[in-house]
Amino acid sequence: MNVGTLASTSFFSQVHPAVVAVYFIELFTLLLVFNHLVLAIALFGGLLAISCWYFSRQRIISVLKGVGSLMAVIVLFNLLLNQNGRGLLWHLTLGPVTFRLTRTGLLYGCTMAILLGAMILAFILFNGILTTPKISYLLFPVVPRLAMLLTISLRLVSLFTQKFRRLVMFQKTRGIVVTEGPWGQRIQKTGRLMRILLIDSVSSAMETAVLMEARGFGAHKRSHYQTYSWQPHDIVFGLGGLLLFVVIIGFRWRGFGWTTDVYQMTVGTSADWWLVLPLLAFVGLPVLGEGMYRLWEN
Amino acid sequence: MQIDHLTFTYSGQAKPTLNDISLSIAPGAFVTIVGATGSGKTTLLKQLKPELRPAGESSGQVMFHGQLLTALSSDVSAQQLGYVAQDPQTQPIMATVIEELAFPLENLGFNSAAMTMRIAELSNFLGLDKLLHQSIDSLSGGQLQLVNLASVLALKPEVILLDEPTAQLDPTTAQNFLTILQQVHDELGITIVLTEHRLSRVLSMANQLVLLTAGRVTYAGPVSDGLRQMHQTAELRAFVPPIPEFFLAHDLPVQPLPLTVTAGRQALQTGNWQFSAQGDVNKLKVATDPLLTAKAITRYYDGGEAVLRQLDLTVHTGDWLAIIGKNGSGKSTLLTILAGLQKPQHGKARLRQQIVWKLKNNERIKQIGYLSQNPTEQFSGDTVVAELTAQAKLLGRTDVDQVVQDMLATCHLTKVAAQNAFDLSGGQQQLLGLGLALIAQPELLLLDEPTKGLDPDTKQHIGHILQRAHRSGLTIIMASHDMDFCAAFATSCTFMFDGQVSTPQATRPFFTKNFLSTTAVNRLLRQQVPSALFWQDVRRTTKGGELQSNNDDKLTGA
Repeated sequence: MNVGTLASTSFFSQVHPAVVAVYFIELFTLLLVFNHLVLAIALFGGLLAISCWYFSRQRIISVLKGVGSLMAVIVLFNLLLNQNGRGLLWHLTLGPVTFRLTRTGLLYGCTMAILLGAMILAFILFNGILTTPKISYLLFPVVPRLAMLLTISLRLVSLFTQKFRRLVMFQKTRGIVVTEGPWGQRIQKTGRLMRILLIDSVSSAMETAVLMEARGFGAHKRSHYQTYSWQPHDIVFGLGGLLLFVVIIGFRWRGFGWTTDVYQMTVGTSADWWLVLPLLAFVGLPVLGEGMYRLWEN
Repeated sequence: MQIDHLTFTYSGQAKPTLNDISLSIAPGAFVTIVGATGSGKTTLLKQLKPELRPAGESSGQVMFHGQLLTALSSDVSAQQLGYVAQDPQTQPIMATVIEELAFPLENLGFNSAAMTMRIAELSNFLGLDKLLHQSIDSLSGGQLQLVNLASVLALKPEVILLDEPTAQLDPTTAQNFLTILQQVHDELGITIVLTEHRLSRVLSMANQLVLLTAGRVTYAGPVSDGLRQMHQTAELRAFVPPIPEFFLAHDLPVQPLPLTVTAGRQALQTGNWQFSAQGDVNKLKVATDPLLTAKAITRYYDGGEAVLRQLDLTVHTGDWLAIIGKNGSGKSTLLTILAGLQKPQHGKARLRQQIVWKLKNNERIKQIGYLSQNPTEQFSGDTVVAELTAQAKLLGRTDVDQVVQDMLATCHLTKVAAQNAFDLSGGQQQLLGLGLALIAQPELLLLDEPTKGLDPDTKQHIGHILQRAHRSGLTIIMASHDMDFCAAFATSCTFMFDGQVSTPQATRPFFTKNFLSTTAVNRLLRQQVPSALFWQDVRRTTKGGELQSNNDDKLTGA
């Protein structure tokens, strides 16, 4: 999911890609280690606020519309599948089948849905900040071929997607409308579209390959253009993030924010509130950085 | 670079595409290769760089600095011989401009400091410094082709080979690209070898012209003499740009032939040649019954600015409207909306009383034909005959075989009927796309850049097919930036800019009133015959208006 990239003038986009990568590893870890609703809401809220800060609000709202339906499905499935939970809120008996709406099912469903929403928002942020050149830069010293393959693949996928959109529109003139007719026909027509797309894409990809070779690709061991350098703010941001991460993980180590037995789950314990602040501080670190960066202006 | 008796035959073909080619290209030369579609221009160009040589049998040799081209290492070939392809989208592989510029340098193992120097130099020289961190996907065709050129220049090549580099660009963007290419040639002394169909600007930059006819070099030498030979060769006559064509067609003895409007005007003044209008140049055809009406069309894409803003347009039955505008001005979006292929956010487009996008697909394609600027997007990947047959059946035509045979003959595709549509030349693909649209016998035909990248002969052929269909009642709307084609065939024209279209005007008044967007002959002759658009529109006269004999002329230096 992609809603754009961060403005190049923002502080976060100027942070060294390695520091940003570490920050996101920490963020994704935090999204996986808590299962209390109050912390899930804090993480989701923080990520939503930071996404609205960096991207167009309209785009985030349109993403939320899509994510919202997915979250609703997760809640629904949890309500349907968690029939043995505690705290019966309502029940319905239809012949031999009894549906039990339990507090456990509702809590667990909501927590999982909110954490999934937060994870998607984190991915949007990740896509917006760690663009292809930055990922390629990070991968090149470790796996140079994979870095190149990733760059090429992303370019070709982008061309492939553009082409597919155009084909969907123009193949209507040949009677191929994938949104009309019975499902069987739609699948058949989509198959025809894919065939045309494949023929066309393979021929242009071959031409691209020849042009890469013409510019010396494969003739020599490749070097890599270093466009990023380390700055003092990278160390401050990286250490700040790491400190908060260690503190939060320390709390988690002591059992805060996690209930192993699903049937014992609660909205949150009083101790969870101690974690809300460091979590929000960690999620909001880039915005904090933006503020500091502006204060630092001449 | 020296080519000696080069003959090349593609795998699986009996007839050679290049036949006994011998050519010498001096260091620092600007060579333009001209030839009709299928004459072997691209094949010849690809013989000049080892990585591009297609599969096939060849004899003879190509030498570069006295060394066999085939013996060049990949490193040397990449560094010394640059290549820019026709389609700007094909070459870029990286995500951003700066990465694309660094790509060839990385390939050859340059260190970061050296790369920074080269990129800094290049981006400043070519004016790309503001685009360095932009994504490749966000660039226009002209910017992309400039990045392609810069990426090739990064290795400081001695020779740059360009295969119709401006074919996909609008005239203004093409002009800008060629100006930069001239700067590269003049200031860096790089040898340029390019193939091109639109010769108006290129020939004034070139110092060597090579004419190819059926795989043979029929001329190699100075531009002016080459143009005279082109004019005498039936196959190449249509390639002569309008200004020199004017002088050759009116048999005005000038040496060297003027290539620009300014040089042409000076030559006319020096020769004291006078012209008057001939024929009924002001004849206008007035259409009446509105066929297609677009009201307050607004279209914007996610998060972007409006491409079309409250656009109004009425097209009458029997009209042939040309919508003229730059790449990216919204012409294609408008055409797809008028064809019912996409919906605008606001406004309505009606074919008579029916909203076009609400028509059932089959009904719509029977009434509205559409030809995309890239016709392959409308192909199924079958043979030419299978494509036409499938379309005729889809549209419920009776006597399908006859209809298909007629269309093959009309589009001059009978010889390639059994070939796969994707394997045809650009011109043949365009003709097949046109055939697919016309086979429905629609009321309205929408054409998006029907002449883009085509050679002048194919353009004329397409023009005449459309002219016949128009005479039998077809209404045509075409988006184009080909002024000469619009002036020659359309009955009315309009400008597209700022998301709107101007009020359509009859073609001749439209072009004669325009200052910049008009034909070269109009710019040449507007002081004498303001209504002239082509050389055929005027005749030479004495001061009294009588036709003057050409025998009195003496050679004039212009």
